[in-house]
Amino acid sequence: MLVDDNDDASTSMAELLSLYGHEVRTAASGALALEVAAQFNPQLVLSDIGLPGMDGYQLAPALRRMAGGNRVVLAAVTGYGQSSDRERALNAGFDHHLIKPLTADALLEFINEQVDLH
Amino acid sequence: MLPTDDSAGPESEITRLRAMLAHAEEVREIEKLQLARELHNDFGSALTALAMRLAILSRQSADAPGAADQWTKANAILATLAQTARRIQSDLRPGALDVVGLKLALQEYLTDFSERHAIDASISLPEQEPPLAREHAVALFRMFQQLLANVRLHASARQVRVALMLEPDGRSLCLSVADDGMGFAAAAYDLDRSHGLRHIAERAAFLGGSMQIDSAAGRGTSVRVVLPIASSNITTDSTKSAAP
Repeated sequence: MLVDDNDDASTSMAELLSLYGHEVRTAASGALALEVAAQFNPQLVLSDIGLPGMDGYQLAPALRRMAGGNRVVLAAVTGYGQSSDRERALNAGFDHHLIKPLTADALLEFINEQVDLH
Repeated sequence: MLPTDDSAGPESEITRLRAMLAHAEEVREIEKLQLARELHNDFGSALTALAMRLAILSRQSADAPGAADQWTKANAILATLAQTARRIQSDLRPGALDVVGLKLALQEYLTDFSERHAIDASISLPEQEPPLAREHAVALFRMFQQLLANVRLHASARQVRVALMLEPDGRSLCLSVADDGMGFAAAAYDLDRSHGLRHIAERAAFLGGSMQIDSAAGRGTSVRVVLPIASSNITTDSTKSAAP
């Protein structure tokens, strides 16, 4: 699942991942992400931090609670690239912290690593 | 400027100058941080989208179905990037303030905000340009930008109403930004939780003014910033819609 209020970013990432056979859903806000996750049960969530309303820091623990005992990998994909931002994302419950702009190769490599681990 | 006291001695003057310097430094740092975040967010997202579109194109033959659509989308992202670059340039230096004054600068910025974020906006302005010192006008414009950023990021609002008006005492100018969003319990709110609001409150106080928040959960938020002006020759208000 891709969570980003920038429609271009989430749609283009979804289209690329679909080309590689991944099943993808997108959400433009934290609240919508929770609705999508409830139906879709994502294995992996890539989420922006600066979302309208519920931000990524609030979304991560909410997704963890929703997943219960099921494994879900949470990755923050954000322009907030300082070490303090990374630390805050990890403290909020994200497993990974990726920095925008993200290249297609970096995205695919990350996704493949996670799929291999799953 | 800080309020001055003619009877104050050299030590209090040194203290005042130190406070001014510290405040100016803090303002510069906060503005740099905001710019860095905007560059990362807006450019980061658009560049990510462009990278994905080009990657999709590179994995398709030139005449594959959908290739033309991908090029169109990539070009649209480039246009957005160019627009964002112009906006950041404008944010860095609100040139409209120098050319058309505070009234039109506020109106232009609000119109652009309304179009970009699909939030209805209206603005009420005094008929005459407020006789505000330039440093106060720049500060008020920066506070206005921060308040709209708060509306966009936190309020989930459908509408924002802006008013610039002379206070009844005729010696100060009030900027109010009110939204119909989710609001929050203002009475119990800790300003330290919001860098933006705390910064506005401190900046207003530094310039001899004040900031007040009126908000409650589910009832929107209204923020008033009051700054002292040079004179009081402002007449009646006129209301305009910021959206085209």
